[in-house]
Amino acid sequence: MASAGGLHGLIDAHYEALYRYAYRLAGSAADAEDLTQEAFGKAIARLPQLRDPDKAKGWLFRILRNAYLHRVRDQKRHRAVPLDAVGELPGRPEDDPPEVDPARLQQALDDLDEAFRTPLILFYFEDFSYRDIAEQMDLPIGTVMSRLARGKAYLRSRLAPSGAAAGNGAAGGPRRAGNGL
Amino acid sequence: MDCNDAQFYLRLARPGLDAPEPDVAAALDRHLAGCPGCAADARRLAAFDAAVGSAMRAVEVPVGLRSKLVADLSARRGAVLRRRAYRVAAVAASALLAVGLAVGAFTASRPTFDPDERALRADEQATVPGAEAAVRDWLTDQGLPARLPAPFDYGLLVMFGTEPVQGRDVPVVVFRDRVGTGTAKVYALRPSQFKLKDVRPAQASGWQLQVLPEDRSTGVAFVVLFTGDSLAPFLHTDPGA
Ligand SMILES: [Zn+2]
Repeated sequence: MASAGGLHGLIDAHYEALYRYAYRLAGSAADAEDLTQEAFGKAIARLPQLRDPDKAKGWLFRILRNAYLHRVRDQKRHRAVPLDAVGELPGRPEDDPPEVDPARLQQALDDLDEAFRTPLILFYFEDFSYRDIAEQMDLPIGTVMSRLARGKAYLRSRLAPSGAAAGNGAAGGPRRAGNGL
Repeated sequence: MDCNDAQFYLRLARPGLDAPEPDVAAALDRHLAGCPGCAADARRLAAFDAAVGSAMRAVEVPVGLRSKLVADLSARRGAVLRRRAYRVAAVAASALLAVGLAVGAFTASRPTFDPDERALRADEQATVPGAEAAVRDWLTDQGLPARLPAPFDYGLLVMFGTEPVQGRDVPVVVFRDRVGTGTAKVYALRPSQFKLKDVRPAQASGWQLQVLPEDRSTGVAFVVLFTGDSLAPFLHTDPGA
């Protein structure tokens, strides 16, 4: 078992990023706090598995995501936008709003399947390369690129001024499959 | 590089993290310099990523989260260490009791002991409020005297349950001391299962064995295996309590 100093170092170095990730993933401060706590708790038990301290951040992110997926599976919660409903990349980028409201961004993320949400969050945190994201998610890098492209197209439609009201039916955007569910 | 390739690389490239190869980057730059349409797309894409990125990262971290995490970490570390100590103690005590009771009267195979399961239950039990009442009810259910024949401090209760000894399930109540390093295991031996005269004091590795007064009405004997010099660290400090 590593020293308490080493564990405190892990917390100091990563707790803010981990919390932000948890928040974007789960969509609420309470869940984010729980998940961050759970992730560090699991990390303590598995610390001997962390061979390379330089990879601590990715390792912690992975533990947190697994904890999140575990919870979601337990709760049998399903996001409104399934994988197939997320549209392809539009031919040309539209004029985008100069600023994105973080709360509105969160709404868009909340409605998105985790398979798309996670790569988007990791991409925009700007700490992880495509390869890092692929490793985090146990996916081929091509799949990550494709999900990112589709995820960005979805965000573009949801965050565009015209998409403010409904977020439905915008070109290239997702259809909210299963509205009645 | 044509417009198609340029659009592809525009969407792929990330300055810093996933920069394209230098020759690709140079070709892209040359194309953008001569193609106003792609250059405009490049600006829009970059503006979009910048806007989404800063919104994505704009999550306020709660004040006090760090101290909460550190406190939780300390508690978990304590629990892990206690669990390990208890695991070692439980196995040692179980083995000693088996030796103490080995009289050849029972042919059952060697008792098994699952320290992981015990430790798990230890964690659960320790958090149960009204520990003394819970133990009392449980002892009664087992047809045992409701009270242990010594004033154990139930604030120090680790677990209660049964443990196989010489092939028999023996009820046991486990306490730790206030420091958290000592363990006392109170076994209830039914006269139908064990003959008290066969219980010998253990002689090894810092464990003591003490036979508490027998319950006259049931004939149940309580035997305590404990670490340290005496039972005092496991008992109420106030004898009146
Ligand atoms: Zn062009």
